[in-house]
Amino acid sequence: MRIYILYGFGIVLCIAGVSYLAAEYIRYLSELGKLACLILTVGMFGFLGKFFQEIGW
Amino acid sequence: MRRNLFLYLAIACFVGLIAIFIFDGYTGIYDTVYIITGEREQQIDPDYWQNQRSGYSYPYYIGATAGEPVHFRYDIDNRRFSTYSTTVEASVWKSNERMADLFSQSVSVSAFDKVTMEWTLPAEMLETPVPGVALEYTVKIKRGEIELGQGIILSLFTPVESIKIVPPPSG
Repeated sequence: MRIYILYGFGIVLCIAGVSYLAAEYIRYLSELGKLACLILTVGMFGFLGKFFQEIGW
Repeated sequence: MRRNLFLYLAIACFVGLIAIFIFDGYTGIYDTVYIITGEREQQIDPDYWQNQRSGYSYPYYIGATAGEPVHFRYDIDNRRFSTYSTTVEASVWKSNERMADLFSQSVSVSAFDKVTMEWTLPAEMLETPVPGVALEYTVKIKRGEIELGQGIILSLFTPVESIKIVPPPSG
């Protein structure tokens, strides 16, 4: 049980770190870069969703 | 096999995101301003000017001693694949009125190259403040249509050593 709490803690920290870095870096991107990032993010989550759907989650 | 394809596509999107962050974050036009007052050189990094454009707009304050010139150095770093041509103008303002032009030049910067400009704000152009009171001037720098932040506020003061203490008359 404790190991899962640690996993959860690690995942939350990773997501928080990546979100912070993304928020910092996005300010320096051009409008076109922001649009491309948005499209790729939507694509990434879409493909991840399909992947999890395929493996039966 | 099909499910792995989705995973690979998701990973490809993630790699693309990171690549855009690195590439797009690096490319662009970057301004660096150096100000030399007295024996001190202050550097205003491109980050500062970019933050100004993203909403945190406030002037940059710098102190200077009255009677001494203020030297400026301005770097334009062109991190793009094409030549960048523009006009650089610097002027000094007081109470929202243009007092004088300090510098004006058309520049052309090749791709992934840098150009440096220098100018001086002579001491004679500025009034000497009364000791204990700071006089403020704004130096505005324009690159084409873009003005760097809200300018650089130059706060002039008279050094304490120049204040002469007059003893009260005896008797």
